[in-house]
Amino acid sequence: MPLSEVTVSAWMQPDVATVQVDASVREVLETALNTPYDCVVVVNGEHRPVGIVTEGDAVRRLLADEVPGGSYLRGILASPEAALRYVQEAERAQRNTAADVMTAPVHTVSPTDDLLDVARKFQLLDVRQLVVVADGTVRGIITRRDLVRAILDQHDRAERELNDRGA
Amino acid sequence: MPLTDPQLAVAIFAIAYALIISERVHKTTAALAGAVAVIALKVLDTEQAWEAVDLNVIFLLAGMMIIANTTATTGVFQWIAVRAAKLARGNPMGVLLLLCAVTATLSAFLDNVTTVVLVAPVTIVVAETMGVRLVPMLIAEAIASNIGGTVTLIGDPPNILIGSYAGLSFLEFTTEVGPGAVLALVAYLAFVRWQSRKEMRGSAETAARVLALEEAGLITDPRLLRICLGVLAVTIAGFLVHSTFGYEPSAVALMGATALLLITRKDPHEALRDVEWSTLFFFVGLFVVVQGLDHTGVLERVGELAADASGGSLLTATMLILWLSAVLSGVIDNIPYTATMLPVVRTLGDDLGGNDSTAKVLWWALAMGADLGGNLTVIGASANVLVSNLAARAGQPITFWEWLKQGVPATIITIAISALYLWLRFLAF
Repeated sequence: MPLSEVTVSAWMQPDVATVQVDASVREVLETALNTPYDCVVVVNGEHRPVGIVTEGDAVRRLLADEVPGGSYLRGILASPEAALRYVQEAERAQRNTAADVMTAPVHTVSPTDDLLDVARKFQLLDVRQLVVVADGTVRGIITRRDLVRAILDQHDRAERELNDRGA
Repeated sequence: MPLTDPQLAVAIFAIAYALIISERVHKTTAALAGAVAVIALKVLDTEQAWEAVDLNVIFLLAGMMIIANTTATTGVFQWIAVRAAKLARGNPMGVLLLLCAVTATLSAFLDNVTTVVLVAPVTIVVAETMGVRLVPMLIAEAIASNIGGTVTLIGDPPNILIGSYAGLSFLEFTTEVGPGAVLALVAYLAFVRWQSRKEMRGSAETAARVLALEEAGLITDPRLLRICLGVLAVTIAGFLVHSTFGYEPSAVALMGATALLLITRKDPHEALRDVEWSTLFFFVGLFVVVQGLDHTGVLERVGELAADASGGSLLTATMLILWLSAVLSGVIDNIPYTATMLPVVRTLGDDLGGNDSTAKVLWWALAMGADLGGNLTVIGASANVLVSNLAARAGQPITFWEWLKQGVPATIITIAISALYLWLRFLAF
């Protein structure tokens, strides 16, 4: 079967982690650390996707939250102005919610989309995951890894068919 | 000339002073303009004008600026401040008191403003880490730095001015005034402890975050640090014995700064950039303007009036100078104030006692009053203005009245202790 006849619903991961858009950054980080998919989808009250926080974002935020030492501390303490900037950043960071750290808008596909379209989307948008949405609400995600598995699976099937026919 | 020389001198002085206070003109420009006016209007001739510039003061300031700023680049002051915060186990009250003690100690040897600039970054970060308000900590540190600067001859410009004018040695000044200033500091810290007892509270979590700060990487250049500490130690030792060897403090400071330049092979351009030329030229202009007043006999007259006002009593004169200096230098810059008072106090001393050693108490009163009075208002000392600017940038501006709530008790406590000290030590028996 060509990719254009395989749908998203066959390969998507339905158990994607989600957080509300007004969740604290701490909550987002904790959720991100516990998910196997390196990302968290940010949803509004109606479970509609509004953004996405990836592992890279999470790591950067975590580092910023750490109590500093060494050369990082030196930079902060270099002058009163530097210290003030650091403190203001830290205070702003504490008030941040998922909305402040997410990437938006989030790119979506529907469960009935075919994988050829999905593949083109991955290439065009240069992302590692796409949120699967049906009736406006989040149903799961599909990652590049899922696409690779689908391609390999299609390849294996095609090979088996060839062998069967040959035999 | 329709005005006499004394009247001219007073007019120039008043105008320059008004310009400085109004802050319409930078104080250095105002002082230089005053100096130039004094020369142009022939209140002094050019030679008299330049003779009035006390190079001892200028070079002492310059030398210490070079040593202090070079040492600051090693990061050692930040290191000390973070260590102090950790020594207090991240407990906000302990941190505040220790940082104030560190600030006071440093500012006994370094310029007060520089000291606050050095301790401020750690204070800012630690205040945020502990979750306490930054502004009360900064105000306490500025006040502590002003008190600490009172302790030694080199700690505060008024002391330097007085020491040079009256021929006082570092050792003499420090042993006569130092103890009183230390007592004043202790009293002030006790007041701070009482006043902020409710606010400076933390938790185990915030304490842990303070203790987690890593200060080891703050020292950027251990070799330079060793050199700077060595030079500082020898320089301070030099200050202690300078009169025995017949050197002025300015010579000691320059020796230290030059040794530093030689040993580190630092480019003098870089080192000299650290010198606050604006401040030094401010002193130059000020010396000339005040000499105009002195030369024309104005200040002598003021001194005689003061002697009359004190009814011939050294005790009255001492207290008068102490409290008057405190109030005045709270509202006007203590450097021009002190420079102007030098000839006045000399005349007062001559008129009252003639005896050198008892009249010295007048110098101590002037020093303590001028230094400690700077705590009264937010404009009373440069360290206060610095803290005010920082607070504004942090989004928590300090109003004139808000500072008064801290400055008035601080000044009353420290001046009262000084009065008691001066009386008990020099005048009572």
